[in-house]
Amino acid sequence: MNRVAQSEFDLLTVAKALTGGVSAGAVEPLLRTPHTMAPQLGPTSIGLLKQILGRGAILELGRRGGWRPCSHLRSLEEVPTGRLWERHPQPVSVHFSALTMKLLQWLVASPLSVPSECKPLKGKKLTLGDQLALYLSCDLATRCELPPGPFADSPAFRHAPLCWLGFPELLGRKKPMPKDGPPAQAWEVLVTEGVVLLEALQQDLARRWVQIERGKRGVVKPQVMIAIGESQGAVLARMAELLEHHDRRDLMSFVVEAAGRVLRYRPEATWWIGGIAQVGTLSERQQAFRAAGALLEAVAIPGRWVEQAQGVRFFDDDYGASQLLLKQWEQLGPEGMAHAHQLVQRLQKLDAALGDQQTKPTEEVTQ
Amino acid sequence: MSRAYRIAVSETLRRHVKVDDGVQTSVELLPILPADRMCDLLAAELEELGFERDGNTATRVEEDGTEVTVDLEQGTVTVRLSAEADLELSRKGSGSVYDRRQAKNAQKQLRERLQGELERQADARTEELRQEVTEKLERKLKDLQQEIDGAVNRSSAGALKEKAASLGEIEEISEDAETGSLTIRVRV
Repeated sequence: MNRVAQSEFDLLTVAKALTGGVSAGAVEPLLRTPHTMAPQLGPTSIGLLKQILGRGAILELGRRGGWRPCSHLRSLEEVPTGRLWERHPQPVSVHFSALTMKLLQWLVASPLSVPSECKPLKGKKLTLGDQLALYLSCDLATRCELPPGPFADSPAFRHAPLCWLGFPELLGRKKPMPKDGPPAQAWEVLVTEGVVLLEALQQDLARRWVQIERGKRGVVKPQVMIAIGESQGAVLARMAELLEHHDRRDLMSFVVEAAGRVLRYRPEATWWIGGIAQVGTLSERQQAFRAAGALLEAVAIPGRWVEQAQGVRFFDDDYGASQLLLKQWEQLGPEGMAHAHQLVQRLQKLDAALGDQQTKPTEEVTQ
Repeated sequence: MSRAYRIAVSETLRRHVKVDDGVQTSVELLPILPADRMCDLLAAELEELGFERDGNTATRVEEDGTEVTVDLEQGTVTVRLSAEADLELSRKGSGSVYDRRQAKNAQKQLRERLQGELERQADARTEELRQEVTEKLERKLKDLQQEIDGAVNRSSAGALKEKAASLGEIEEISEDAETGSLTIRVRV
């Protein structure tokens, strides 16, 4: 049996929770209260941590969607189908730097339920492994319903594009993602070496975006909705630009899947804006209503790609890639797209900011 | 035996405040005819509603000062309302000190307190004025949206008629005002 100090045990438990080895509920008390951390870990703990991250990260990627047989691009002509490990038979290295260690220490040592007492986690140069660990931490925070402050105020989280992709409402609630956003190097790492992660997380990202859209009904303050919507719009625009550049448009399928699920029962506009208080200036309210439809507006990006794909003939080089986009688009379809367009128009009407008390959401969206 | 000194201070705040509120939306013109012609048709419909065209914009200023501007090229509608007011607020306050040497200090503190109170009062008045503007605008928007939608629909109908006429001889036009449907029979 391996023996470790109490603080090391706490850190290893949090690492296990991040990688799905321990439930979120089991570590919630540990995250909410501060714990003393030893300045460094002993060799036994280091060995155990390597094991937890190495095996756990792969398992977690599998659990979050890698297990699902699906198709993704390898090149414009080659579209392999299968589970994540079948599509990528060659081992992919995911390196966790010292930042991941700092992250785990920060999660254990900070009283995350008292944002004013938490020191921000710093870090700019992120490896792919670090981005994954930060992403999983945001997910753990959401599951434990921790206040967003400590995460949104930490530069390490704000510099991780993967975190913005999955948690724009958590990081952008107070301060939206700036136009230039996380460093270009971090984006580049994500859309080149990180495509395996993005492929594995498509289903998880779709689940998150459905959750964000559902959460908008509970947003009362127009400023909060504006911040969330602006962050959503900025992150999707940046992502689309990069994916287009790298010919990996298939990795935006989570947007189509999320929109398809949200729009399945053709909800009314009030489904998004029903909670916004009728206070403040009309211009602010109208801005909030526009922001509420950020995902619906962003659907136009894959919609544009699909239009191009429809014109590709079977003997063209990118026929395989085009067919994949068309298949992914079926989750939303032309009716869904038309409904999204109508909703965007409704949210942008002159009288939208007056609220529509007569029209209540009649159908629930289920996942 | 100490003697109390009474200090009385009076402060006045004069301020010119201007508040405004507004919303913007876009109109979707169907590309039935070339963009220039579609703009002309919409402008003609808007002129019927009291708008004045100046180049690529059509503007109407209503009695209460609401300004509606339609950018025909960009396809945007902006509605703005502003209000101005001259505030003159005054406040008096008094206090007492038992040492004459402290009088100046006490007077300064009292003045600062009164100035703070006046600032808060001015902010509250400004917010009231802003709310009035917003409420006025709210009352307008529902009708205005219908007016603009009507103008866009009529200009689209006009464009369809022109397009049909360019295709052949129009034999019959039937319009249903309730549903907004338009049927044109053309002999090509």
